[in-house]
Amino acid sequence: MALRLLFPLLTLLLLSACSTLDGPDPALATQATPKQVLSGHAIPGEGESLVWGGTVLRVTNLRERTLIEILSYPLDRKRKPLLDSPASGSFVLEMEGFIEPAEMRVGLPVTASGQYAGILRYREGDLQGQLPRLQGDDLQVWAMPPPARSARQRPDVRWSIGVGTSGSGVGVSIGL
Amino acid sequence: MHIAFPPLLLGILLLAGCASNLPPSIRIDVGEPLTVDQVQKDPDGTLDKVVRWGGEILSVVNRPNHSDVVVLRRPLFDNGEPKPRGGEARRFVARLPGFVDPAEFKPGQRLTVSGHLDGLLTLRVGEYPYAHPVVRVAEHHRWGEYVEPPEPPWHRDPFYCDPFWPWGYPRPWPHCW
Repeated sequence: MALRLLFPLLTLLLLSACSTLDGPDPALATQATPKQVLSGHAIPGEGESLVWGGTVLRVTNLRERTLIEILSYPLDRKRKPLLDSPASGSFVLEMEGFIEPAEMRVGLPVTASGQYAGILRYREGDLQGQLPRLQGDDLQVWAMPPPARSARQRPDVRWSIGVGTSGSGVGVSIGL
Repeated sequence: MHIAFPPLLLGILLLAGCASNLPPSIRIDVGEPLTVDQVQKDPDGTLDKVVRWGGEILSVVNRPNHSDVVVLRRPLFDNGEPKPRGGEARRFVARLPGFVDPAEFKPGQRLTVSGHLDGLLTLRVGEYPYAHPVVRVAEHHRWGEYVEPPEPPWHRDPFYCDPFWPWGYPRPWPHCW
């Protein structure tokens, strides 16, 4: 009885551990990253639909639209930026209308879908550069990630020891 | 007759206990349930209406005779304290008489004000002309840093529900207690 129950439980636990290994969405693997666009490795056609996401670097409110500079990361199946992966360049998202900059803090994870709109060249004082531009249709905002744990904090591992009896049998288990 | 009073007295005592140092019009919502959006759409119709609004301080603009505190509006708890996030997140100007020290009214601090609506003031956010409803402040209160209520330990301890415990016991899995 005990063994019969243990096997499905172990399988369930193993499966639930796998869910944290969720990688980038393969459906988005074919689209160019901002880094590839800038380096010329993959250039999307003007107006091509893209889904890009990452963390907010800067918000600029113009008269009738808002520019959001975003540090790009790969997206998972829910299209949420995978912040533990290496960044893949940055891009400028252009949205119609006003977006409250106080709600778009630096580091906030966002995902945008829209159309590729060429390269935006900018100049700020002596600094100049260029960024791929996405004309956004839709902007999804994710929860701010918790501040990074310091290495001195104890790891989030818990031990649990259980002893149980069942009919004539006695069981001891250790959970991690 | 005698029995009717103790609850009333108790209520008054409890309310008095809440008094603390909060101005009455901050502690109790005396205003109309108006939003920034509604005032932006109808500044004349909402003129002189009383509101209790609060939120996060964004900036302070000192003028010759008064100071304009730009606030990002948030919903309020029952005691008038702004919640740390959510709500319409639109801007308004809290107009305080005299000088307000920007070193004291720091960005990120939470402020609740009560007062009369006084039309719109257009200030630029970047290049965008943003029409801020103005509240002529009667009373105000600045709040300390928001502390998240601690999460009860059973919300995060995975072994609050121990899948191993006890083996084969005739109960549905997982066993939570």
